[in-house]
Amino acid sequence: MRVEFRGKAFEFDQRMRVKDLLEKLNLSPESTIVVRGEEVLTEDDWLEEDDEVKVISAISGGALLVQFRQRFLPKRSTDKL
Amino acid sequence: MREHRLALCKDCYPKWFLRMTERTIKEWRMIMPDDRVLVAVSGGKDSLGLWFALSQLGYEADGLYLDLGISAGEYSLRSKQFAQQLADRIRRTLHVVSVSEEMGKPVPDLAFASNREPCSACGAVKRYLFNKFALEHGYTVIATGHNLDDEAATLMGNVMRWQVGYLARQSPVLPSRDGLLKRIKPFVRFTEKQVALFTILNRIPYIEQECPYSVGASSLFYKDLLNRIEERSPGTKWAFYSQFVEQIQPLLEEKFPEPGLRPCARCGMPTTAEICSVCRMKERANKPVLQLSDKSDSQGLTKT
Repeated sequence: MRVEFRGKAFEFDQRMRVKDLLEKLNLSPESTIVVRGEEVLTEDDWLEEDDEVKVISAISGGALLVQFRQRFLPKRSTDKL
Repeated sequence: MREHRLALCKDCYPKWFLRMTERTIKEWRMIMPDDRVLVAVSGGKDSLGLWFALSQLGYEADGLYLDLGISAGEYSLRSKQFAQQLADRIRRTLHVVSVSEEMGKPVPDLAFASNREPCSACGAVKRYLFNKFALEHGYTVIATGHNLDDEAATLMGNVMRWQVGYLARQSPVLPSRDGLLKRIKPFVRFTEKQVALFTILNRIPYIEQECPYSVGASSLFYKDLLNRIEERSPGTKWAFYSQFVEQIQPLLEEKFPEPGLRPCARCGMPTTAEICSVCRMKERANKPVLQLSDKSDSQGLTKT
């Protein structure tokens, strides 16, 4: 699938849920919205191999946060409290 | 929306969002029947979403866009275009004020000349010009698009350093006093994601591009930390903020009353000092500078 995020394109060759995609991109579901065309997707929606989706950062400065996270913060954990 | 234990379809979500906005406005007595509302419009999702929501709720609010003069990536130009698009759609007036014309220099130059962080200088200039414009044009309330993430991050930053003076004044409503107009934040219940969703579902185009000067802003770091907490414990952000404004802020406000205001000796706008911080910034930015010149004196300096 083709994923657009802040003007950059990412390719993934397997179907996955939205929350898995965000995990791979090291993005928080609390601060991102994933859309397929005009359809807003939920974290549990499935993305197919031939989908084209766009990830929208809801946080001002989101692109900077990604750089910051990749550089300084450990990868997000899915462990629950 | 795990924090609300609620799942809504795309048709119901905007209605829920508007109901919650109206509830916040009523609960905090943000807008009275005779008020004239001016929305501080930046071209981003929060301010455009707010202006649209107020319009949908029947409030006759106008917008004010401040042209900050940020040329990188045509940031100011593009954000103004988005603001004008919404003004045309909801048929309300968008006022435009140029910071360069008002202050003699654009925001980046003002920040540099006064040795302030760009966001700090920008915030001071924005608060000043919004208040000045609203006063001069008969508006009684200034509405801003601050959301829960903004407020919780600010709260966290102030708590970390125990900035009690700032904490005492952090509220969804700041009443008018001594020349400062009433300020309201009708979106404080919503996360940034919820506001973005409302804006997207209503097909309101907004500027997604970052302000090129926001690099390293500490509020972004706090937002990220709070979102990590929220992922594990939904509802924490709202609890953190709402319990503060309901229980702690009133106590702090009583213990640390605001300092008295007086008119600035230069511009007449309210300030705690003899000359307000914006006039001082303006003077520093526009004063003649010493430059190297062929016609210089023996020390190689001359006044231009």
